[in-house]
Amino acid sequence: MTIRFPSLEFFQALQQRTKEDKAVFEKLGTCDTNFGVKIGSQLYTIDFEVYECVDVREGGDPTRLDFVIGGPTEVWGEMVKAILQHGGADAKHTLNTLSHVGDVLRIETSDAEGHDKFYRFMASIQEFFDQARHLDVKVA
Amino acid sequence: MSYYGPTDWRSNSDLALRMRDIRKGNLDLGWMKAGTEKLRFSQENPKRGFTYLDVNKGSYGYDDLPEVPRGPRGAAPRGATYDVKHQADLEPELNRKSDVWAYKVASFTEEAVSRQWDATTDVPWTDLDKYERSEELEVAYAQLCTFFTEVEMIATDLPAKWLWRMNNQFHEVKHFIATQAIDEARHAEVFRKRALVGGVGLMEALPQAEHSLKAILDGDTYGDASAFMHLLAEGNILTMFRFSEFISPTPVDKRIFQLVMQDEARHVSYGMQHLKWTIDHTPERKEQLHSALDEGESITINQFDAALTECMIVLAGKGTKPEQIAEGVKIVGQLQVKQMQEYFHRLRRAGFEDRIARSKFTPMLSQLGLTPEFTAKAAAEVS
Repeated sequence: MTIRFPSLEFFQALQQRTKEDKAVFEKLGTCDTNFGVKIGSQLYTIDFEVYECVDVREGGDPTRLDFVIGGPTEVWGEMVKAILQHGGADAKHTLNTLSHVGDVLRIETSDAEGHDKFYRFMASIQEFFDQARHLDVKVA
Repeated sequence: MSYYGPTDWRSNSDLALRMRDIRKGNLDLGWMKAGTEKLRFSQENPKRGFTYLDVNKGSYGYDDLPEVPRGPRGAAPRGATYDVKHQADLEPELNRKSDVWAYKVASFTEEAVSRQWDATTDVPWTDLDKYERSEELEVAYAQLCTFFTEVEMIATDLPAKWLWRMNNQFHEVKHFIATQAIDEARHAEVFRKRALVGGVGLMEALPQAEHSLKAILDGDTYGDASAFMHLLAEGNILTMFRFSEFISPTPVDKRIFQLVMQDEARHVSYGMQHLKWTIDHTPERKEQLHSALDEGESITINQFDAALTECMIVLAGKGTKPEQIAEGVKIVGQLQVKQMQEYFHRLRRAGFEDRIARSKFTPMLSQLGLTPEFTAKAAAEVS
């Protein structure tokens, strides 16, 4: 079934992948964070607990999240296309690369510890998005 | 051998008699009535496993540990019975909880154990040959890796230096900094391997970095060393790891930096929570921490004039042509401002806001034109 990006279904499918590809996430280690993904003006809340994503939902309170990764819909779309094309983010489209310099993606946080959680769990969060390689996605 | 016990047991007749008695089956069994606390422990979350947080109860736990535990100074585990009169004094130097403790330290320890990785097999080393890299950039990359190798070797020594000086009552902290030592050793390993596998080899060791590292290693107290190492130095290195991931030309290098970044961020989080604990419980130590960071910031700035900055400029601009260097200068300037901003955010989070006005970074970077306004402008210009 083709899943549209961006959509709640896309994140639900990624959530399911953390269960189906459980060995990959267990190898990366425990990941305990609640973070936001803001695509254009739409916020999605992602909850990780122990090894897996336990909940995804539309909306949420950014001030109660560890961090929010936000950016224009086109940038997110390009990232997802790169993942689909290369079987994972290529060098230009990793989350860190897109959020480090310039205003491509931004990491928004009100708390330095929450900000550091983006880095503490970087490999798990990147793998979460890279799991899109297993999905049939149509980027809007 | 520098420690000789008070008795030569090889020729002790009482011991020989007792050993013969045991061999006849005449056991004392007094140890079976140690009288230690009987508690039931269970896993709060079976998926997570059996954690330090699950055993944080009663005399075995850490919540009730006083600021100065007046118990054993040897290796008696917390919650065991002990006989102070007959136990060896290991002479720990860090005997106050506020000397070493951090909020959430047990969680950090569990996370560290769970998120270990292997520099030998978790990096797809053989993929590196699939990607074309210019000689110039590979040389600059080798210089960057040489710097990181130097830094990480001292980052391994620092926790190891203080580990055995901590009272064993603080074993959660000791376990955490033991994981830090292995993390840092793995970082030195991965950067050394990366410099060598690229075919360039190791480049210049930097005196500027080594003076800074010596200052970290020679901290007068663990608190001074931790503020300098965990918060200031590792905070800077974390921002540099982000930058290095950003400029890395291959997914192999990206992978390396994603992995080291995770460990470094955990160490920084411990440092921030340790500083917060110290300030919350012993605010009188603030002035000493200010002094340590005054010197730490001063010596850290010196690295701005080094092969390190130049190799980052070459990597960021993707070459040594004037226009490439100009682009690299802009990007590295943003990194330097970001290092300062993130350091200030962490100080604020640790309850050490008054440090920000006193910091030596602000005037130095302002003189160079490196201000938040510069970052905003440069970010818009960087292609």
